[in-house]
Amino acid sequence: MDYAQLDDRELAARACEGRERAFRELLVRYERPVFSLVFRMVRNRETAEDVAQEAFVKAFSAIHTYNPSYRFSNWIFKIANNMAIDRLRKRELATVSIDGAPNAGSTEEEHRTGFDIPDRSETPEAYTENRELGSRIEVAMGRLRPEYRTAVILRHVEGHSYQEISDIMELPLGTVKTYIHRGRGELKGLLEEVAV
Amino acid sequence: MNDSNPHLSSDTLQAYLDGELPAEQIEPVQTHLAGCRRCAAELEGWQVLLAELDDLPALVPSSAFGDRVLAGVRATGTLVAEESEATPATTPARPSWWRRLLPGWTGGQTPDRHLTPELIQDLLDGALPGRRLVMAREHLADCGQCRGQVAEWEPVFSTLAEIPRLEPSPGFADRVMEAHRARSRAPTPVPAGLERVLDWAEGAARAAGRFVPTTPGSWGVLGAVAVVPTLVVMTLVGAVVAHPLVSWEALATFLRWRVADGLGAAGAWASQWLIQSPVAMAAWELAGQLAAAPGAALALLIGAWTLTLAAVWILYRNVLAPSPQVGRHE
Repeated sequence: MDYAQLDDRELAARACEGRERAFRELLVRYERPVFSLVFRMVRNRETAEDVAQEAFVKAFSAIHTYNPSYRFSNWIFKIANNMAIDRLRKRELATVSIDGAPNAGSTEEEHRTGFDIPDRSETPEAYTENRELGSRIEVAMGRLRPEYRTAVILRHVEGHSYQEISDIMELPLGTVKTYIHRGRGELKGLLEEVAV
Repeated sequence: MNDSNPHLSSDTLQAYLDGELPAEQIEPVQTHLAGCRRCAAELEGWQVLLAELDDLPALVPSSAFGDRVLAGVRATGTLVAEESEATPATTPARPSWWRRLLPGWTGGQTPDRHLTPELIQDLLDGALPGRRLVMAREHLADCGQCRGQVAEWEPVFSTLAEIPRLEPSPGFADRVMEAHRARSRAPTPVPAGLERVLDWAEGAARAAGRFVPTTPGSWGVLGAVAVVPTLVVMTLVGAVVAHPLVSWEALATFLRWRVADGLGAAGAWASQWLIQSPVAMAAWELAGQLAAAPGAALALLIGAWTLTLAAVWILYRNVLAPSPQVGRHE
């Protein structure tokens, strides 16, 4: 049987039976997109590989809890994104919640609810030192808050629909749209800054 | 459209006209409209209504209305003179209902409100539904300022479109599988040989599944085919029993004879096999040897009795004796 011909749900069903080839095929399909998302979130290759590996192991160990009515890609992205966010929180990365409340209704409110703390872990300069994430857009992306970054990556790198992003991030559709709009707005400003 | 009502709902038709219908529903709706005169007529009715709504004229109050309102506001003391001078002399034209749905609609030839950044983003992202897209394009055709805004956003989208996926280092998949094997509480992986057998069986089951009926009609045909042998046998039995010389008692007697003959033949065959079998011969020889050695026979007897008592004890402990309460803690 050619496992490459099976869809994700069929592969997950076989994985539930403990078939290693099914796990491998799922891994082949999603290792790049999942790693790509996690890497852009944690912005460190070693950490990203750790987190992506943990995400896959966690998903595979809990494969029997996967609901086939849900898209497998959404499920694995949700697990990976949650783990990346957890890792960011544990490391107290400067990108977490210093830019104001995510639910702020306006830019002014966002600035008012934000606060400044020194960035001890990663700086824009550190980003540029990173060869892979050193391009203009990657540097700008690194300055987005994690929620915005996840939404923009899922939309523009992975090509997910707003509804799928809403499922992955477990957020209302309207919130996802707001995140994407604000994230792109910030990217626009940051790219203009770099251009000047 | 549902099981009880085969026609398209008015919500669906309006969503279709507004371009708000999910992509996967558009084709079924179009197919239905092509074959359903009732729904096509209702769609036409909605189109007429929407066109009329679009063409509704702006209703302008009398010229003294504005003065009266301002006089009332001045009386409250909340309006300063400069602001009153800035009041437009005429009421701006009222945009039609669907144009007001568009955020940032300009309201006429001289744009006073422009496309919002969100709308521009959705436009460039391909996330604007049909009617809004048309309206946004119409606005852009008339508004240089918004065209400039769109031009500012375009580099952002082209840059985002070029972001590549990043690859993990070589051997990542192997490390994941190794970690999975070590830490997983999933079912034990199936051995490769058994997996091939399971694959083959699954393929065979899938091939057989193709012959399973899927429609009520095909189930009916299958049922009819399955019933044919039963009907033939019943017809033959009926024909035989209908003969005047054949009765139910005679048939029962005949069957009893046949069964008795069969059982007798089977018993004779089993007796002959038992006597002539190597096992029986070996048992006979063993019995002879035991008879020649009474000590060994006694030991064998004691051993057999011991095993029997042990079996009875195990049976009693596990089946007959009351078991202690076992709690389940989740």
